[in-house]
Amino acid sequence: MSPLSENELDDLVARERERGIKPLTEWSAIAAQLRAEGLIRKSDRPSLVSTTTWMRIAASLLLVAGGIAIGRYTARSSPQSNAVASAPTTNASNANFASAEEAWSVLNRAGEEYQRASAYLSANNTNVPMPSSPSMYRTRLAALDNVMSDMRAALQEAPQDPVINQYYLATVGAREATLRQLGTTLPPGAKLNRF
Amino acid sequence: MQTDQLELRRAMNGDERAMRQLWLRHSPHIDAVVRRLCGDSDVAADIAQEVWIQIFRALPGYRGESQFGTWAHRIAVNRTLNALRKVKRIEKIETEIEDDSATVETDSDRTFLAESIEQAMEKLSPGARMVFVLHDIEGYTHDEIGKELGITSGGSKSQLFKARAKLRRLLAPLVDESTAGLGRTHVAPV
Repeated sequence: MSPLSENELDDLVARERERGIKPLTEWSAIAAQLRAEGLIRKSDRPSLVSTTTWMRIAASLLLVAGGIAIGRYTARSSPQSNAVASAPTTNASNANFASAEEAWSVLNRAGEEYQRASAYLSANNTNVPMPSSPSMYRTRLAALDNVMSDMRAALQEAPQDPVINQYYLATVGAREATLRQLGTTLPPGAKLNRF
Repeated sequence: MQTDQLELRRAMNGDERAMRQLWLRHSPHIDAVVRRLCGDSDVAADIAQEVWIQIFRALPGYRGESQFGTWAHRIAVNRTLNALRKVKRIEKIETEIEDDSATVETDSDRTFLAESIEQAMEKLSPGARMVFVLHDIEGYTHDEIGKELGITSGGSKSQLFKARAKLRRLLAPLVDESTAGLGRTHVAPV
């Protein structure tokens, strides 16, 4: 049997150079030592948002979108609500702001208007069939509370995020409106201490 | 590429998930270097852990002047050689390289035929294997090997020559097997 040529050996070496092997250690063993040396950053709070949290946030967006849809429906039957109802339909690509400060100002004003409109509708709107059962309002309040809790956690991570801020404010407004609506479904003389 | 950079930055900031991703992606090749240099799988496992700790210790100093894999390979080689020096294996290699009597083959070595280059490398003396791995696989020059192992450049060349000659003999069946089939088709009756 004749030995390999130099070139044949070089080919085998080239293949060996590319060959990987199964890791010789476990990550847990490496991580334990890195942690002991302080090379892995300790997380002082839970990670920004879990999958569950994002699902809750998505649910909140659905609630807000539902609110907007109700607002639009109401606007068609109530000329007074036209200005309020048109605000959420503003197209971002058509927005023409001179500066970020101006956009922030408009965003804050819109948030306040949204809350005022929600409060007004909860007290005065009689054209749209609304849930009448207290249990339905309680379910909605529980969902909004979950969303607010997650939004607060997200705000701790990203306090300047305009989208999170906007939806947090919208959720606060929706919660207040729902509390008022719940109050109207209670028997006369009953006081709302908890839901 | 951008994902790699982002992952590296996160790992530099101590993000465990990013560190683990780096380890998952590069350990097959980094650990392979350690394994080849050590020869012994138990020693290699201990040293591989030290290597990765050292890579993460040094990570904040990584400036991106070379690929992360290349940079980590250098650390792996240095750390492995240091670790082997601690367990007195390098001294043995240095003595062995200067004393050719240590490379005399036994009868069983002469009759052994390897099924892979990995198996064949295990049959090399530690010194010859180390020089072969550093030069032919890791791309070190003989001067660099001389400095790393504390031997002369000539000693490194000599070990490489012996290592390659032995590997060519040990691996002969690999090429014979791959060409034997072709040969048979030519001699088969028409």
